Amino acid sequence: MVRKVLELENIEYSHDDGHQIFSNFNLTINDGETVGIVGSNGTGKTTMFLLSTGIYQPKKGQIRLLGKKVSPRKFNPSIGMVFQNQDDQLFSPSVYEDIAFGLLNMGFDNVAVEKKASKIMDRLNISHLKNKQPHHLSGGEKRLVAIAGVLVMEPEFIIWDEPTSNLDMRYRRRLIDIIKDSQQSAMMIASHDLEFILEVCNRVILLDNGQIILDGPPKKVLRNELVLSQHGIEIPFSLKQFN
Amino acid sequence: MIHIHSSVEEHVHLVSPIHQLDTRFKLIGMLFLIFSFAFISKIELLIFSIFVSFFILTISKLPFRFVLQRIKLPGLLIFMVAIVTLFFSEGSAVFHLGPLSVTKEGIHSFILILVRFISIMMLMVVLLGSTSIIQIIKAMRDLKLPTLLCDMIFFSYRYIFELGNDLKTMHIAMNMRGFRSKSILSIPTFALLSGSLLIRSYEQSDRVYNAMTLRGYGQNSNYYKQETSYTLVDCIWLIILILLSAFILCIEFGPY
Repeated sequence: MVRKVLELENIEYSHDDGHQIFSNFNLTINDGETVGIVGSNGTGKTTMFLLSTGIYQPKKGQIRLLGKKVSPRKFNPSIGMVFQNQDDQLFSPSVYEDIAFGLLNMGFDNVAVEKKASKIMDRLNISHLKNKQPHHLSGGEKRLVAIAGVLVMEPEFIIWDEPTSNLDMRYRRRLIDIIKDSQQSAMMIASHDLEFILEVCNRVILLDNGQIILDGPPKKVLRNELVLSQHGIEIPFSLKQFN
Repeated sequence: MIHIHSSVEEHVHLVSPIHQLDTRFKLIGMLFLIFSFAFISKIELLIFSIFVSFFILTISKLPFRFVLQRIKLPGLLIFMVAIVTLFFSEGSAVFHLGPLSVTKEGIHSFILILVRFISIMMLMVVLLGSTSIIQIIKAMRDLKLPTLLCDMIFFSYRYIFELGNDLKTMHIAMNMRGFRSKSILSIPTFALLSGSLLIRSYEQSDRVYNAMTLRGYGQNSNYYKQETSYTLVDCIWLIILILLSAFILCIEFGPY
């Protein structure tokens, strides 16, 4: 039987201004799935992510991570999130301290933290940035440090919010390699970069107005020109050629 | 992207006895001295304080121009306050300037305000110019100052650059659309710009807090523990500054 990593059941959520984002929303992500979430701006992607992590609390419904109920705003190292704007995520005085932040909060001692942080920095090829101040790094370097800070905690489930935004081709390729090499049980990725989604995901969901419009294998979902265009999405160029 | 860097930290990599001191010892020593300077009211001690500040500045090897740049703006404000004190203090008049009279007490207060300010500012500039803000915040954490306070100071420092970059980008965007900040009519535009920045920073603080929560902020009280190593020189420095401060306070408040 396939293990369920994330379950959102009958979720209802509205913003403080009363604008309803989700009503009776259901989603299950299973072990081994890398789920691409596509949709126009303002369709509820980031809200869904913040609900999944427990940062936002649904008005109704249940959220379970690895079978356990997600408690609101409670630290859960099984889930990690790479934010859309890396500046929101890099708050420590140095790159090393930022990477070590989560590990120390998990209770690892300094020796273990040093070992794990060095390993992830080597893996992402950012060891030379160890003592630099995060706000003095380039956009691509910041993104890699933000990713390192999440990957080092070895969460079972990772959420990536627009990971390719503002990245040049070189850093985009490095990011694809990192995601493909990830050992996580499951991942959820929101992106407008559909070629990227095609390359890294094995399941794609089209989200609009807080509802799942399409759900299936990437090539099947992203070839559905009619439905995609109805929801403001163009099919990727690589698929267009063979459609 | 436009980047703003801290010009306060441009000399933190110099090599001098002050730069090499342990930040905790430097911080405590300087604060003792600054507080003792703040109590000075005797002219003899004022001369002593400026001499001490100048001596510390000299051994820190910080360029005098750098210090002047830092003192210039707050100095102007203090100078205006001192001028008001000079002309409006009660006491025995020394000379008259039209309807205003300059008193002996006024001159005393004028000198007191300015010299105390210069002495204290020189020490502050040496402290901030010879140590990075990050090191000072770490030292504050080591000295067991409340974590929340240290975090707030650090985040203010960390995100002021983000705000600075946003402001600069928005200003360039405005200029490229024909905005020229020369007339009084541009004040409402600046008000809108400030409001927009305020909202942006509020929203960003929310996102930063979410990111911190997800990585366990507040879970581990040992997070801020640092390596503690100091030398005999650090201890001697601290003792000298504490003795100097005690000497100043004894002269100031003692029966001499």
